[in-house]
Amino acid sequence: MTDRRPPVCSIVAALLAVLAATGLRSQPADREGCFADCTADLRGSVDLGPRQGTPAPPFAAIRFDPLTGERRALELGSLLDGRPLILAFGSFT
Amino acid sequence: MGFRSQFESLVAASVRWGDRADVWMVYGREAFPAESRWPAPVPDGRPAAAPRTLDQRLDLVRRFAAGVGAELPFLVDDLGDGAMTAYDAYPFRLFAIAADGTIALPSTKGAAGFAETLERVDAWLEGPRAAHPPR
Repeated sequence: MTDRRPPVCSIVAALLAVLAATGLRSQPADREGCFADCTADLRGSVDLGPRQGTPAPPFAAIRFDPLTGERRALELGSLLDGRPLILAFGSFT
Repeated sequence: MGFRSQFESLVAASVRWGDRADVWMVYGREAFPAESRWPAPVPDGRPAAAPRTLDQRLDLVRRFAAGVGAELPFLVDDLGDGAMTAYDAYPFRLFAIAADGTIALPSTKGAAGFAETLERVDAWLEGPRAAHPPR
């Protein structure tokens, strides 16, 4: 009798294709490492951030002055005082 | 090339923009903490473990600011990175928000988009329409 089971490599390839199609490969946890590679990866990732012309998403944060140690909870709304606002998101490493 | 390399240009730009715009750094999840495969130190030379408490996160801000001589206040995201998530801003990203509260210039994520958008913000603030999204 003929064995009609698919070879293991076909099953693995199919699983990898599903993972790639569902976007798991580009989750942030996988992006640690070389930033050149990351940048290339980020270009292909889906942008879930706010679009141009849409309201800026509200958020809460701590305003922290590293010189004095002063900290204060605030929300985005309190930063919008009728002037343009530039937000630079990032970390230190 | 991480956010640190962009920080000086951000500070220079914030001086350039002066009283035309408010500029804030929103500090969130570390991209290369000590536990990662490629840990990167903060400017004091010591590695930065991923903060697990708000106090640890604020301590990293203090270390970074002391290391680069930054005198500006920071916005610090919550431990769940609510702001960074809402703006899909990991690992780093720049947004210009018009005076009416709408997104005017969203950068793409990462180094190239950040640097390019700094220049676009320059042009945008020079124009008369900074209060509204560019058309």
